[in-house]
Amino acid sequence: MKFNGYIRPDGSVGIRNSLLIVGVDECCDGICRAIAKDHDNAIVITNFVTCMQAGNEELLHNIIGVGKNPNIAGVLVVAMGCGSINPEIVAKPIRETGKASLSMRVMDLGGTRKAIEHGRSLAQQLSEEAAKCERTTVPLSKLTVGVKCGGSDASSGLASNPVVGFAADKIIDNGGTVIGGEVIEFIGGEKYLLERCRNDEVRTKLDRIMKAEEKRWSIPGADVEIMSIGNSVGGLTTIEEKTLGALHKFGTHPVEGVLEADRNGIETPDKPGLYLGEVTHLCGASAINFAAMGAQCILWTSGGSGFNNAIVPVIRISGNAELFTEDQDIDARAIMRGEATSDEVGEQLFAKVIEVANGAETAVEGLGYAYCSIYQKDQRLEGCLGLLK
Amino acid sequence: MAKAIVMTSKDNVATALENINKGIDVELIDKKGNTLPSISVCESIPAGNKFALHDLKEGEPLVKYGVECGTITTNILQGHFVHVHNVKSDRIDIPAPIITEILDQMHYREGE
Repeated sequence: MKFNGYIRPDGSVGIRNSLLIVGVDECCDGICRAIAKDHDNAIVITNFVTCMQAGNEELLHNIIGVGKNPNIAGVLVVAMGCGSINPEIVAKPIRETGKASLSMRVMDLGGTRKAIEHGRSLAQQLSEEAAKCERTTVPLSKLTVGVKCGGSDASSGLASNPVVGFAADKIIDNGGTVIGGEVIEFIGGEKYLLERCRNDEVRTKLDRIMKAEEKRWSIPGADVEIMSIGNSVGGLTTIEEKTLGALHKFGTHPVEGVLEADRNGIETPDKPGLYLGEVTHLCGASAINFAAMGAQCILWTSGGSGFNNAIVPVIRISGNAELFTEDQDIDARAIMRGEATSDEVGEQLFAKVIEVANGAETAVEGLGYAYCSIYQKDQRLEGCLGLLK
Repeated sequence: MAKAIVMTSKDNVATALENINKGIDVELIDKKGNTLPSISVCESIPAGNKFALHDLKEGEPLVKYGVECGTITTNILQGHFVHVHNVKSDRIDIPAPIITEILDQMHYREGE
């Protein structure tokens, strides 16, 4: 099985050929957007959290990871100049993969207008370089797919998640890689996930990150919402039932590895197969986590809610007859009528993944993108909880 | 005929694929779309909710997706509604007032 993608200098393969404009501090967000304006394929991600470096290393690793993502052809990193994040902290490691990666400081350029003008010329240069890259046929071993639920309901565990699980298995059978996350939502399913680990090393690591995540979300006085009244009215009786339904999207292959994201870096898969990673359950930021771990697209199961990302195309799957709209890429409603099986719809999803990898647009590609919010674990809280590594 | 799905052969519950009224014969299907012997439900089962495939005893696990998803807290007869009022989580239980709220929102009355 093969697809046609953009081969990057480090050997990774993109399914899109985008430019990334990074604002390393909030003050230059508007300047980045002004630079990006003339390029349809330019995506802005801005660090709205802080202009300080200390304590925000995980966030910076996420930005660097996005820059290294193969869907990105070239990167421009912009800093205001008064904060402590030197734009080269981000630009340099990306450049070291062989990818075009430039940086600029607004305060060195004689004001906002001149900075925008300079940024536009750099973006134009990156754009011309990106346009030279053409799609080439590569094996499916070059494809990494993130799997995620959002707006789950009773149809998720019966229809859309098993459909994704079938496609995940088939992607791996054909040499590809699948990453699942949402570690807090493993509660109640720990035993089955640990049984699926390839070896004791993977098992110990998974056990550690699951326990750490539960500790983070179990602060007295700050309840975590893992099971809503709406979930139960819709038919979910226990957290175990909700979790086991959600875990269907990971298919049936062994867990090859666990990908950690922390102040020391973001781990990426080192061989094909199924991985579980520290990808947040919050949808917008999960796309950044998936991108930083190297995923080129996301399979997203939902009732009918919406989430879309500019960096990694989002393929949506729903089996909810009441909420289904034209936004969905794969229709799993026939499963809920007992008229199709999850394997049959899973075959359709697998075919869709290849189409999208080849360049076909998803149902809402280019429309209504979520902001690229950058999530990190609070380093000070990590320290208080004894979880800093 | 109303349909419900049994996700694996180990499961002791079926999940309603549509709203099913009390006393109705229900066509059971498996994940591959095969038809299984039908049973009748003794309480109304809203779509997405579960009923017992055979008599279940207090202390037995609730089995769905082929795995244990909680513990039965009171004997449940075949065809009866299986939910928060007769199953508890072995991991993080739902507080009693929330269980009452869930059943109120579902307009559940035992035996109806």
